Amino acid sequence: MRSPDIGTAALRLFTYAAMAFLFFPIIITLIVSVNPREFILPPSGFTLDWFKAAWTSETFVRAMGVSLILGIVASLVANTLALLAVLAMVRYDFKGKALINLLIMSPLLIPTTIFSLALYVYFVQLGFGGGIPALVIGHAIHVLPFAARILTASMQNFDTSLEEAARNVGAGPVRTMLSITLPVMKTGLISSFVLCFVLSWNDFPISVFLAPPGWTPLPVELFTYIKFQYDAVGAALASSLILISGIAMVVIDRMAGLRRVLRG
Amino acid sequence: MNDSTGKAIQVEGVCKRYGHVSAVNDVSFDVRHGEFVSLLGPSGCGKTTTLRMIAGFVMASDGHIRINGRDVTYLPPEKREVGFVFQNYALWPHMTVAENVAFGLKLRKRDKAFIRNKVEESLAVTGLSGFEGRLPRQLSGGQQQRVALARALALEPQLLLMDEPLSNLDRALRVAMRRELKKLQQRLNMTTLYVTHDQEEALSMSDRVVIMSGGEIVRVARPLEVYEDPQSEFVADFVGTTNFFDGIVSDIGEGVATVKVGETLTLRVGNRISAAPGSAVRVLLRPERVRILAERREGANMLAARVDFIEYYGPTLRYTVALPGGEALFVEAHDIHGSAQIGETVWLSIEPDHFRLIDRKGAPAS
Ligand SMILES: Nc1ncnc2c1ncn2[C@@H]1O[C@H](COP(=O)(O)OP(=O)(O)OP(=O)(O)O)[C@@H](O)[C@H]1O
Ligand SMILES: [Mg+2]
Repeated sequence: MRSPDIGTAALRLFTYAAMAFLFFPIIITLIVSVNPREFILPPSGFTLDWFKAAWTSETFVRAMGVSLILGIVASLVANTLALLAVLAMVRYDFKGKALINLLIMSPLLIPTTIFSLALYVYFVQLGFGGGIPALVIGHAIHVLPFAARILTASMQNFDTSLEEAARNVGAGPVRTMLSITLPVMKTGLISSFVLCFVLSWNDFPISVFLAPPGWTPLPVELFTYIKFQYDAVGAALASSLILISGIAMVVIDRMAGLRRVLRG
Repeated sequence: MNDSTGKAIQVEGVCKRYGHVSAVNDVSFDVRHGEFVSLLGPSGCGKTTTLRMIAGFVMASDGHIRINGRDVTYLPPEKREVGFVFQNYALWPHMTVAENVAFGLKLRKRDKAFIRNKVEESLAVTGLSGFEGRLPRQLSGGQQQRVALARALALEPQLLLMDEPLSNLDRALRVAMRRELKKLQQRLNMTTLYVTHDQEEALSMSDRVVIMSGGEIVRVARPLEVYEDPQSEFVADFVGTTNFFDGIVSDIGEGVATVKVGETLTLRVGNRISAAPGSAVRVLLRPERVRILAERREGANMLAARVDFIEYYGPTLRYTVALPGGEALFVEAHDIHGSAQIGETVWLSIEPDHFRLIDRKGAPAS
């Protein structure tokens, strides 16, 4: 029989190895983006020149703005829809509930590239392929299942007698939603919003298919740049993306505990 | 605001069905102005459902509910103007104590000074002055319970509904709160409908008790009547402990019936239900109505019994005794000192008026 200590140690070692493997490219990217000697390792010092170049490039700043607005709008849309759907699904029993749930979750089941291509074809048929609405809708659908999962957990924990108490002292349904339900679910809502934003912020395939000219989100802009120019500005830009995602994750963790959020 | 009927709540033939399950079935009762009425019954008998229908949280499937004479059956809860105290308190966790109490007043657009005074007053009445700035999770269970009460009282409801408000508190606090609540109710002369499954609570606080079982009302009466004259086996068993004997009336005299129970036992029982000779009856006897004696004396009912078991409860002793025919009987005695021992034979003396008779309709008469 194997000693449990050895088993635990082996598991730990494996976990660290896997994490190192996953983090290695990120770490290399971060190092390259502050290394004065372009792409020559080991680093010879520390510089923020590449970052400066990235952050002063009009193209990149614009792309960052696009990503920011896209992330916020798509997250707002997805969370609003998810909230309403979850409200109905957690609180009421109705025919077709399982089917609706499956539909909401289905973007998780389809490879994003295929899903994006399908959306593109579909939007073209509808006559607005490659427009801003298509891009926003694509992102919103992509993040919808995540919003639905987090908000379902949040809603299941919600004690409906809090709403009854509000109705009892004279609040109508809308007032109750605004003054009681949403504030009490605040943690879940913010977590869900931030996670959706990060997913949208990092998305590449949907944007490639759906972004109209002049409305290129940052990951796509970065890809285009790296394709033609192999330099450390690209690395600095990639690092910026990573850092912003990282900050968002820290925010969620502080708000609600990352583990709780991801478990849904 | 008294209306001509003098009734604060009228529940008329109310039913609640969930699919095929009938949670509340054809329930009717009234609560008069200023009255304290309890809904008492075992778990799942439909007390909460009845109360929630009056508050408007669930819609009745059938029947009508009137508050102060007005039909509110289809009115949403926010239009009913009744106070409600929840079993789990349902305090809003993101609001301070003061904000919880003030919420309903703010909705009514009262001016700031009025709200501040009213909040202060409600918190003072419930003994919570100084807790204004705390969040609910920073309070003990008893304090949360008071906030829930203060929140309801701040709106000066004409009618207060409470769903087992004390059931989450420990026993000592529950007894203390029970008295406070009752005093407050009397001082404010507030009509109250109170749900509980605790018979002691119902008996000690209520003007009248509505006893429910399986979604139906089985008895509405004053606490004393409920206990002393249960009128049904269910009520007798649910409220306090009761001994039962099934027998046949063999003879009737002046207000006293002779009941034969089995082969060996004959009881002389006060006959308030005018049972006829030959009818099947059930005889109820409260354990504390039996006198336990060391030797035989004169009396209408003098039964020899063997002590099988003794439980010490502090203020009382409970004996489990066996009669010669094998019938087991609970007897409760206050006399701790001259107590009998297990295995001893004792004499039980029971006044005829201390029995209660129930007609056993449909039972075979032999
Ligand atoms: N939303 C619901 N759906 C289905 N059945 C329900 C629902 N609410 C209550 N019931 C059923 O109705 C019956 C009465 O419930 P209710 O909550 O009124 O009981 P209660 O007397 O308050 O019991 P307790 O003392 O345990 O609180 C129960 O059998 C319960 O299972
Ligand atoms: Mg209940």
